[in-house]
Amino acid sequence: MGDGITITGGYTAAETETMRRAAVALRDAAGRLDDARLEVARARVALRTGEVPWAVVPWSGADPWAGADVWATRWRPGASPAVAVALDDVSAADGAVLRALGRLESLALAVLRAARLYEDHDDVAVRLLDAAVPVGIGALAAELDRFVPPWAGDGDGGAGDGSAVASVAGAASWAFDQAARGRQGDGLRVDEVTQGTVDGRPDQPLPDLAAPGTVEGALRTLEIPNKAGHGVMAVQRIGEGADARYVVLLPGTQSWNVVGGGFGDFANPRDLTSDLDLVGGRASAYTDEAAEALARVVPDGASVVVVGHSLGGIAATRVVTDPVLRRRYRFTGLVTAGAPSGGIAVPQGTLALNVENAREIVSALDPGPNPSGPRHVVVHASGEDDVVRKALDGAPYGGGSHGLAVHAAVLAEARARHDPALDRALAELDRSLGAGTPDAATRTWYFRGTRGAAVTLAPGAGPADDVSADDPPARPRR
Amino acid sequence: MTEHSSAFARPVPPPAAVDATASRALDAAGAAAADARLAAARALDVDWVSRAARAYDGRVDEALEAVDGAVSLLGAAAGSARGAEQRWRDAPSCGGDRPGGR
Repeated sequence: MGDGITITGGYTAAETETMRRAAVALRDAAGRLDDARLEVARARVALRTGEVPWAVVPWSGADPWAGADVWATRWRPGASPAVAVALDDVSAADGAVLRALGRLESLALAVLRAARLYEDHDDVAVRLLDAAVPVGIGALAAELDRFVPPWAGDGDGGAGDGSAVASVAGAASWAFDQAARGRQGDGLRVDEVTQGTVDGRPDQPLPDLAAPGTVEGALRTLEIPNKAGHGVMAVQRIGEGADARYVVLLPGTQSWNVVGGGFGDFANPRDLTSDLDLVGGRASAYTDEAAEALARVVPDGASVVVVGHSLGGIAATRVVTDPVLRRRYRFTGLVTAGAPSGGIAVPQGTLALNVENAREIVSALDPGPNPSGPRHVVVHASGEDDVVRKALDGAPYGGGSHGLAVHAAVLAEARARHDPALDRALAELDRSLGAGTPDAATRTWYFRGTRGAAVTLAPGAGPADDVSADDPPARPRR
Repeated sequence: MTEHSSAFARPVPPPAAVDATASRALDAAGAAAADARLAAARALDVDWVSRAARAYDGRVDEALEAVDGAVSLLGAAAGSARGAEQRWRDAPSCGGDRPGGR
């Protein structure tokens, strides 16, 4: 694997056997070249062992054979230059056959290596990501572990039970949450908004977004709701009628406030409080906002892809794994970029793609390793090569190595490497995002969530409103 | 050497004595290399196999081009050998064994 991009997961089981067969076929082909070399050797011997029956060119005294590999053969005294030419050609051909043989052998090894790595990808992923988790988090977790109350950790057991990061985040979230609850109440108001910040200018009409067409396009599109205003997210419909599918765009953290009142804007669900809630396995105002937005505009049973960056990525993962929401919508795809969404098992019905790089710390704060599998692909750039640096150089929106443009560029680079499993996943996700239907009608809704306001949730919008006995226990509501 | 027409049947030397030597061996080598080219192309004909190979440092195009080059050079060498053998056939005999004879 070259240049620091690791792709794990995806559907590869059937392909590995075909790859093995291809590797064997390439080795057989190399074997045929070995046969060819044997024939070449025979030809060389035949040419060398001939005697001198035909002095067509008179001996001139000069030695036309100097340096040739026929010096010691019986052809030399007076042999025809034609034989020398033939021997030269044979030598050239032999070298070419040898080179071709080596190339085919290398190619066979590459195919075999690909097959083996596909089969072993899960272990590779876990090792890489374990190494990527900052040492400081582990040390902090070890220090704080004895102070963490057991009931303050994750609530549903799905977010990395036993993970030090999850425990610390959960405890911090609980503590901050208690402070916030006392000051501003628990209510979440969700409003559709039609105006916001566009291209840095406030109070502009928010645009109807074109169908992204690709996952990279969706990541870039996320910048629109990201910059549109506090607490804003978007839902896009692509196509109409029976063909309609929906894309939920969840941008990342806007406010680093965690306690409310003192610093920042606690009203904004896109804040560090939601980050801590989600990493700690708790419900968050941001996922509640997303659930409410879905309830407002997405009909039951509709096909939905959820795309999220950073906080939005882990919120997206929580949304598509929520058992109640899964009963209402068909979550066909999940895309996260720079999100600490590891440790959350995404059901097979949802094709999941995580994009991350080691130069940004956020996606390394996973409560657990990325659970790659046949329907869960992870693209990880090590940061030790030029991919991330070049993307940083060309990033139009800032945000450093955690920025959306960098994640989109990393994914584009990974796509260009044509990993079969990634190709398959991208083709499916791209279709859901409008690839192949450039003329499909689109409509975009923007929503703003506000904490501490009068509650305006649609009936049944909350993830825990409708839990049957068959569902896993719901997360505790905040 | 003067050629004489003859009304009499005469024994024809087996091909191995003359041209079933260098040129024939090189023809066989060329055929083997062409087989190798065909087999490699068939193995790589599944699109994602070649793409997977590329993803893991496999130089697909270079390998096929190398085999093409080998086939081409083997053909050229066979031509050269055949030319040399033809010149032997055309040249007056000076005695001794013939080139490549067995």
